[in-house]
Amino acid sequence: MNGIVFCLATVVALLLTQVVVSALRRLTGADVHIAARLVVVAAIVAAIDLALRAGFPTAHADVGRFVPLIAAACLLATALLRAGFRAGPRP
Amino acid sequence: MTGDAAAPSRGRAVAQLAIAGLFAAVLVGGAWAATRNRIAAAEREAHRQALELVLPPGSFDNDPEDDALQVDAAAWLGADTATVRRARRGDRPPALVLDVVAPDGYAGPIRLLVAVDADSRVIGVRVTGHRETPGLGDAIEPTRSDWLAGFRGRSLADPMAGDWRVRRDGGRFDQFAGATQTPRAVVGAVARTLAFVARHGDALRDAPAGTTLRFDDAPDALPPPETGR
Repeated sequence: MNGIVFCLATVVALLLTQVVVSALRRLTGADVHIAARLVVVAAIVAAIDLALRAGFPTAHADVGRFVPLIAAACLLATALLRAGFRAGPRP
Repeated sequence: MTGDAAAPSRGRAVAQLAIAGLFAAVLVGGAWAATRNRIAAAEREAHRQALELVLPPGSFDNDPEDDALQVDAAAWLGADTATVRRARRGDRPPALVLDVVAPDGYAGPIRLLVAVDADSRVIGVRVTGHRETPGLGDAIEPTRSDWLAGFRGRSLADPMAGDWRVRRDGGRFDQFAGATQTPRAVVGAVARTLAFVARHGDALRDAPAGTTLRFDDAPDALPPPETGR
């Protein structure tokens, strides 16, 4: 159960991060994009942590300390996707 | 690049970061507003379960949550305001269940629930919140090890006050491999709690429920280890 909850939290965080970062990309220029991405990912993971504490307190007691690590996955995923789109498919 | 040319770009960057910051603030603030009641309810329930674990069933016939007082004794209990509950049975002096914070955990404060009987002996200790390292410091959780059970029945005379340390510091309590700071913090917090009850236990037991007591004194430094290890 704890694993399922944590996986769902990770998937939701990844989805939200991609959507919000993509939407903010038009508003934030290249100069501050990395900083903006950090702020957004931290906020999303913090919100998910709160949601887990409220909705799944038992699971949060066990896996809650790992939730901040989701931020690393989100940052990596957004960076990799951005790099991937820039590079395009391999011939 | 001259300062004049950089100024508009810098201003735009600040505005863009402000947008991201505003989004983050709204998101976290909204999430907090939407979840705080449920989080508080979940914490109360977790606390109630910890209370049931720390006090033997049948050892009290009142509701300790209703027979509680607030204590302002940060030097002893680690928190500006701590709740002390009284578990009573018949006319016997009540056992005290104290919210204690060990402020010197490895990864932050460790919140504890410490139950002390009328003879100033530990009935039980439970961890109600911590951020210690998984696999190392989290052995303070009863689900990971029975280390906390080692406090049961202990008092400041057993072991002697100077031995209320982990073995590495010359005391009588085991530390964990690779994580000495965590048990050191917990042992220190439990020792301070026992010393607090020994000094102020009468006031805690006699105060009417719902009152707030303030203690401005501080615990004495531990004497040197008795065992010399």
